[in-house]
Amino acid sequence: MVSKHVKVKVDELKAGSAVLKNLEISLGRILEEYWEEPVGPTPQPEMTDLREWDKKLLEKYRPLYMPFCDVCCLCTMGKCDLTKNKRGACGLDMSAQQSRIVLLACCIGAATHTAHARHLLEHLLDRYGRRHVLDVGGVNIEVEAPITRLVYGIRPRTLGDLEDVLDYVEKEITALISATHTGQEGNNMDFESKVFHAGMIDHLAMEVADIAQISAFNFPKADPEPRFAELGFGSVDASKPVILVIGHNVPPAIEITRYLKENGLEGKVELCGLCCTAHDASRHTHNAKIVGPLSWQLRFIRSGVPDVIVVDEQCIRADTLIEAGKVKTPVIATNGKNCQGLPDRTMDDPEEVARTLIEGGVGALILDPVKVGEVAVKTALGLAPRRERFKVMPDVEEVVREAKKCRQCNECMRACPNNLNIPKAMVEAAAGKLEGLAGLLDYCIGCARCDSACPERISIHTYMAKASEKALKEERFKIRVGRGAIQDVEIRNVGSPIVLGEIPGVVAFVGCSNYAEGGREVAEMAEEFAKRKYIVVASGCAAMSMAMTRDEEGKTIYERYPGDFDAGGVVNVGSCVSNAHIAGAAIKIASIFAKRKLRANYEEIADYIHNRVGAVGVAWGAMSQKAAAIASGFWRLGIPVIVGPHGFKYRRMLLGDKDLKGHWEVYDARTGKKVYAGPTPEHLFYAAESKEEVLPLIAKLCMRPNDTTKGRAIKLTHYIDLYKRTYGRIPEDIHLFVRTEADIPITMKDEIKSFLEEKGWVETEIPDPTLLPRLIRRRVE
Amino acid sequence: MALAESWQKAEVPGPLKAMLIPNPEVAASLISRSRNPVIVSGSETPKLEINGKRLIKYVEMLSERFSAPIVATSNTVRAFDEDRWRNVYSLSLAEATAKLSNPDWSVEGKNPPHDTALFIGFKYYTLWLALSNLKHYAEHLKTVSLEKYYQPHAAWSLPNLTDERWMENLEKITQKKEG
Ligand code: SF4
Ligand code: SF4
Ligand code: SF4
Repeated sequence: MVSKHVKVKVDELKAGSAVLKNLEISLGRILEEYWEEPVGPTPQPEMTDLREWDKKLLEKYRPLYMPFCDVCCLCTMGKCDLTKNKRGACGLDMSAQQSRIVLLACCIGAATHTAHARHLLEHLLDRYGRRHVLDVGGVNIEVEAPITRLVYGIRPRTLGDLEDVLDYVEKEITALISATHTGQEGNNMDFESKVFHAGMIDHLAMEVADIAQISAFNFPKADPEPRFAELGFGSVDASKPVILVIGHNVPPAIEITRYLKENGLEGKVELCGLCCTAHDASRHTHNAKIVGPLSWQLRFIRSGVPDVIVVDEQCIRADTLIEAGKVKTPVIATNGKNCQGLPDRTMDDPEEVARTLIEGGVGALILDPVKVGEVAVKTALGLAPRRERFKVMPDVEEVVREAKKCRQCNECMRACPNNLNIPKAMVEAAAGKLEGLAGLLDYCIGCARCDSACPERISIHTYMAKASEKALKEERFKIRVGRGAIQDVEIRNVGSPIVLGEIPGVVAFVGCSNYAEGGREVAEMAEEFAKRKYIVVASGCAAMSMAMTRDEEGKTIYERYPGDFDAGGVVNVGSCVSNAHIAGAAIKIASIFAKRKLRANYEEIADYIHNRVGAVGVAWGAMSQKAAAIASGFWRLGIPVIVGPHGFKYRRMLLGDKDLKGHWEVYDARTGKKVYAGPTPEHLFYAAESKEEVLPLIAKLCMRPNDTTKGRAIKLTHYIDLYKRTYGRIPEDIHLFVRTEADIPITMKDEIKSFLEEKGWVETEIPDPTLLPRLIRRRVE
Repeated sequence: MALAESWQKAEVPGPLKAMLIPNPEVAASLISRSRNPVIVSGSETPKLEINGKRLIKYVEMLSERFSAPIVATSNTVRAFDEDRWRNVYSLSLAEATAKLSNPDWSVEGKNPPHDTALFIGFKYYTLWLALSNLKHYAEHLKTVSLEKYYQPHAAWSLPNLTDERWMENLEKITQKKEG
């Protein structure tokens, strides 16, 4: 039995004479213990407890800082000019400042997932009680919470157990944020170690949120073939009253479906969503449609289709109320973190609130999800007939008329993150040709900076959407809904082929839709690796983008590939918080397949994953602080993450240097000897310029020191093949990845052998790799 | 009068911003005076044309005019190979940035370090960030942006230009000296 916060305070107690005053007993919560595995070395680690492990990674993967800005303005001694590594008034230099900003970003991300988890959990405890049993996969899942077991060191059984995990998480985040205060941490490498800590903590919070909601809301429970949901602008039936939910915290959406069901309104009102709330609503009910990723927000609001918009938290445009107001759509804010300036109507009669909204109210803040359900439905039903004339895009004449106002000042293009040539498209539009505007929408992230910059106040983004109206209306795709966790049996089946390298890798496409060249690239990359029998995993907006491309038969990637966690599977785990299952799968490979001790045994498990599990995360459109935190959780596990071109703006990478031979030595656990294992994986955090650069890089970063010769030959085949396809030549670094002749892919034998000869290649050993001296079984004399 | 103003308006770097290259002659003399220049050519190089002329041709002319090796980032090396252009090394922008800030490194291993690096053919923001690293961490290196748009983190940069003016600049910079 583990007890926490036990406090007994007795100000006066006279035994015998039985005087008892001010007795205060606070036992906190007592966790019952169901797990026999002994507690490992790092239960509930504080921020320095895994510092040595972090150092091992950071020595190999050095930070490359790319400051956004030369100054620091965090305190009133500043602004300080840190140019060329000058120090600020507090003594901080540029490297420390950059790593501090990364830490702040990761803390914001981790705090966001944590506050989301806490808010969700409190709602679930209210509705289902502390004793509600966690169930993420029935009999198929023994290890229900791999990250919680690994980091916190307990085996949670009920919703109530998760409260303690969040207590720990909140304490750590507070400590981490405090380290960014002026006059605290000053060393960039220590900041980087804290970044890793924030990431690990973030993963824990995500796991809590997702296993709680899976258990309580009866989401698919690790089902490899869950049902399909409809996705796309055109999948929404605009002839019905339409409720749009946006954000990440699903209880309001769940209560909307409950209200619809309880009142016999299912099928009469259309419920659709954007971003992760849409994922989670679709995991709950077959009636929920997914409009698309974050970048679809503005085009869909401006289309006027939603009759009421319900926002919860995260990734919601700050101008939602203004945009919705233009098409007379009321907004219901449902979360204290995002009140939108609206009056609090939580305590008011739902009937009355709905009436105000129907009669022209701009919106209301309602902090009770049950009431949101009723108000949203009643408002949508009452308002839809009155909003008919707003459910239309502008006509072509308006676009042409407005385009004629364009004075070719280039302000829009200079504001556009993707430098889209709007002025040129405006000239064409003024002449009645809208194809140019339509073409831009494919590369547009829907930020509306162009609109904001235009001195003529032209609604550029709306006109792009109008120009693409036909295509948008035909946007109807199928996505497999988020399945949640990976089953233990799946892990047992793939454990060996992954660790030996015969399944060439696990590639996770995660994150937001801040793409430089459009979402099509994510779909193409995912397809490439599914075809090559990698395990493809997806979550969040990336999982949606992957669904938005069809083959000649009209099928999406989810319809063409199975959903199991196996070679050639395409696995949608779900929303942002479901990313925990991706890290969880890697952890389960170490614990279930390899039988490494799991409980509070972080270093050993991370060491196992880093050296043996060929997994890579690709966050092609990552933009948020949450994405930074998610990535850093993977870094601490030694899993590399690649981001797209806009990811350069995360302002630091963690790069290996393949030319430094000493950086790539591991211990051979059998002998204790240090062995050169090649740059595997070569980088830990890498921003790429183009899809062409990334395809071979993904294959390369799946290599691990532990690969068998057969596995390495398979991985090399994919790397060399993809490299040849995009670079048109063979890679210059093959010799670093060939350890013995048996590693050489048979089909490329002659070509590679002559290349190796040129490079003066010599054979090296294949170790039983570890970075941890304590795991050496027998030492060399 | 050309302005030292970032193309993407919000990209305000801080106290130190790139000196404006007022005319192509200044750029040419700046590069000529360098001991060991290198050209870094980005992912957009093969995709860009200026008034019908491929940008890659200018990169090749630069290499010839200043006897400088080319570092081709992303998969740009493919386009140079197709042109049968030698003296090209493939490194990613991430790797090239890390290597260029190392004073013991040069792309061919000769005469390290490079004292001047010319940049051309990038997405605006990927380059501004790579240049920012070099501005702060590569004391030995002078960075020169020959992009169409002003790059604030370079040491020297062309201003924001129209295609015509960009072409004119590149033509003049790459022109062989008489005699
Ligand atoms: S935190 Fe330090 S570097 Fe930043 S403004 Fe204050 S004194 Fe200057
Ligand atoms: S809305 Fe689209 S076109 Fe406008 S600035 Fe943003 S990305 Fe560019
Ligand atoms: S900002 Fe407006 S006026 Fe200026 S070029 Fe763009 S569309 Fe035309």
